[in-house]
Amino acid sequence: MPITLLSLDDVQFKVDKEVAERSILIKNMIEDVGESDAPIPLPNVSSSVLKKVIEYCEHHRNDPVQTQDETDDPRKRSNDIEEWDMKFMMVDQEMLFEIILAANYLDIKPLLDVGCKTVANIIKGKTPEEIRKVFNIVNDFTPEEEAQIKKENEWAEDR
Amino acid sequence: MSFSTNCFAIPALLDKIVSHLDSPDLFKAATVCSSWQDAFLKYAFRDIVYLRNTNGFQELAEHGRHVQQLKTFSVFDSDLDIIASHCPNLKGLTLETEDTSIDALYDFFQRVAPRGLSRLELHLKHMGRQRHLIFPVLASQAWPSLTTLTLSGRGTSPATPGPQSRLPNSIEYRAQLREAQKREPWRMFVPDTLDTLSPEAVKELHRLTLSPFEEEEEQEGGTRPEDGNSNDGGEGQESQARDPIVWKRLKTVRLVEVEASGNGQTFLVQLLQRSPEIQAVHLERSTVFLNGMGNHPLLHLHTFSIEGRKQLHLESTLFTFFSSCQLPQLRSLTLQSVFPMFTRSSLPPQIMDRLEHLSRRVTTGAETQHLDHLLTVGCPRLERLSIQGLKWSDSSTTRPDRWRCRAILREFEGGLVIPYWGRANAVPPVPTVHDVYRHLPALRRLRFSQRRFRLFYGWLVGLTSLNELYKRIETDEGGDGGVGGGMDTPPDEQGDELLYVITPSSLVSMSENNLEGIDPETASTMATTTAATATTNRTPPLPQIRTLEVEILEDESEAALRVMELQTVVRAMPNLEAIWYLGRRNPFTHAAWEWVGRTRPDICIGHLHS
Repeated sequence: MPITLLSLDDVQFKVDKEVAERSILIKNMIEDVGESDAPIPLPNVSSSVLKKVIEYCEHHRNDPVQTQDETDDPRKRSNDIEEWDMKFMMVDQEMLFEIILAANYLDIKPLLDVGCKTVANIIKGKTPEEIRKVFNIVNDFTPEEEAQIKKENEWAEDR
Repeated sequence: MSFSTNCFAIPALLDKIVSHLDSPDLFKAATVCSSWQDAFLKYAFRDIVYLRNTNGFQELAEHGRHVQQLKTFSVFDSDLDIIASHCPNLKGLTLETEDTSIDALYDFFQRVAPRGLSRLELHLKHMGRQRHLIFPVLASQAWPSLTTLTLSGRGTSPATPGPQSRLPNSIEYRAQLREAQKREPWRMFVPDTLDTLSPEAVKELHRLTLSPFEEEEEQEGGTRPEDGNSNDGGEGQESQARDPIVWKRLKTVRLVEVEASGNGQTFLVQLLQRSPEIQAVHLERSTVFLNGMGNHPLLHLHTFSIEGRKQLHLESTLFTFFSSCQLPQLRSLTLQSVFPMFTRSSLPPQIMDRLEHLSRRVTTGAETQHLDHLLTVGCPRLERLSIQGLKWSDSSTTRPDRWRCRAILREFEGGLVIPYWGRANAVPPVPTVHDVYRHLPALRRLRFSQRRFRLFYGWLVGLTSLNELYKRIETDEGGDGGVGGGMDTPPDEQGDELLYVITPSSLVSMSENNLEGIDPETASTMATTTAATATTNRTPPLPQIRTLEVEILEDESEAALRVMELQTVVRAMPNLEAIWYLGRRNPFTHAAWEWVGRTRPDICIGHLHS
């Protein structure tokens, strides 16, 4: 039975129940409300983001449900992202953050993990200046403060 | 949309992102801007390791509140003050000190004692001299969350974590006095330390690890366990009268580990008699035994292990202990190198019939026969068997087809010592060894420690085929090159020649359906030998094997497990689920590793910490 999802900007998406239930939030709502034709409102997710999220859930519809142990496994490194997921996350930064926020709101742990790993990979190995450039961040330290911070953190580099 | 005002403003998301970043990246991120500094710095300081102290821990003065795990390998007195003052949220602390004064340590532990500290490791220079002072300090603290306390002297750090205790709420109490304490009678060590531990500190003491203690040969006039009645002497009575508080506090001990004790007879006997909860006893490199136990029951003793360096004839003592004491729960027995004439009569039938795990080291062929006989007449419930020290010639005396446990034996560990198997002394041992597997249908776990690694595999999967091959080589000296076409390294000794011939590479070459993946030159040489042997040389399948453990004992570069060897092993074991390797070296070549990942991704390969 298809489920209708209603985005922030009033766009409706029809998806299979098993796809929609990749979201724990939606799954709980369906269980609470029962079977219904009424669309499920998702007021925190825009249609463009919801479309991406549904694309992800469609692709992973047959994946086993992650257990808490698996999600907490420290061996799951940030370079463990599957190829399809990596391509899926090749979006502009605004969309990337929106997807992460949506995954958090909808409680889709695998998507949230992939999003956070992607952000970590962007940061990894970069100098502070490169990070500022990538994320378009203004350095609000004074030159004196920055010099002081660098000096304070020097010890960490040669540990 | 601002990065820092969205994802990073939500703590749960920030937690997830930083969990994928290591410390240098976190520190760099913290210098991007002020908002990132606020967000990242607390994570950067959460887990800190100081390999060397270059600036006196000044950063801890400012950010110490974020530190949860701290390891430092060079601490001075002033540093301790900083840690005590500024790190209130420590959960784990490792301190290695070189020049720290005992006064500073005393002050430190008086002040710090974080309520949430769960792990404390101290590696102290000249631990022996300091222990009289530091132990009372430690004992005086209330450590409500402490689960691991590791103390060690210089030269033993970083401490190797011991095996995880299966007992709940155990406190590991380790005192490794490797340098300063070798000559001091260890019984003196007990009142000096345990006696001073506060009741709060020892009330949950389940695991008592005392290592090492004085060696027997370093004492003059020490009591030998064979002398008997050693606990009836004045020393024992004096100790008993002097230390009642010690015994009271050791009542909760369930696991006792004693390493290298030379004169601990009295203490051990008293400990066993006074600690009714004891479930496991491990005596390592110990020359004492339990004379004087009388008929005291050990109602919960499940595991008894004694591993010694010396050849001690303690069969009668062993029998007396096991027959006079009530041991209704004893299921696991490890006897290593101490009972050369260990026979069926060393174990009372009621013990033998209940055993589920037996580990034994043999050094002579006669011992192998005794063990085989023991397994033939007893031990019907044995599920795990470990035999170290088997030689080829000795193994030919074993008859697993007659073992009473053959139908239920699930784990078998054999540490075979194989000398050069040259032409002059070669006695093909293959059929008998093969029998070990053929008659053990329940076998699920197989572990071998083998110095000649290739030979091990050849022996493991080739067996009867190898026997045929050996004879062929012996009568056809001119054909060595062809038969040995699968070799990677030419033999440089006569004994090695046969060793290489029976490598799994050669075995693979015997079976036509295994030719894939072999280079053309090798394949052509194999073709010349395949015709005569193809009918009998198929690798025997070992479908019952699920887990394989391997270990390289010697640092032999040629011992690395190569692709073809691994192919042979994996094909012979179609239901293999895991390969675990022990020791420091990864035994697999890179190509072998890749091959498994590509063709059998379901097989888990990992390092097993012994």
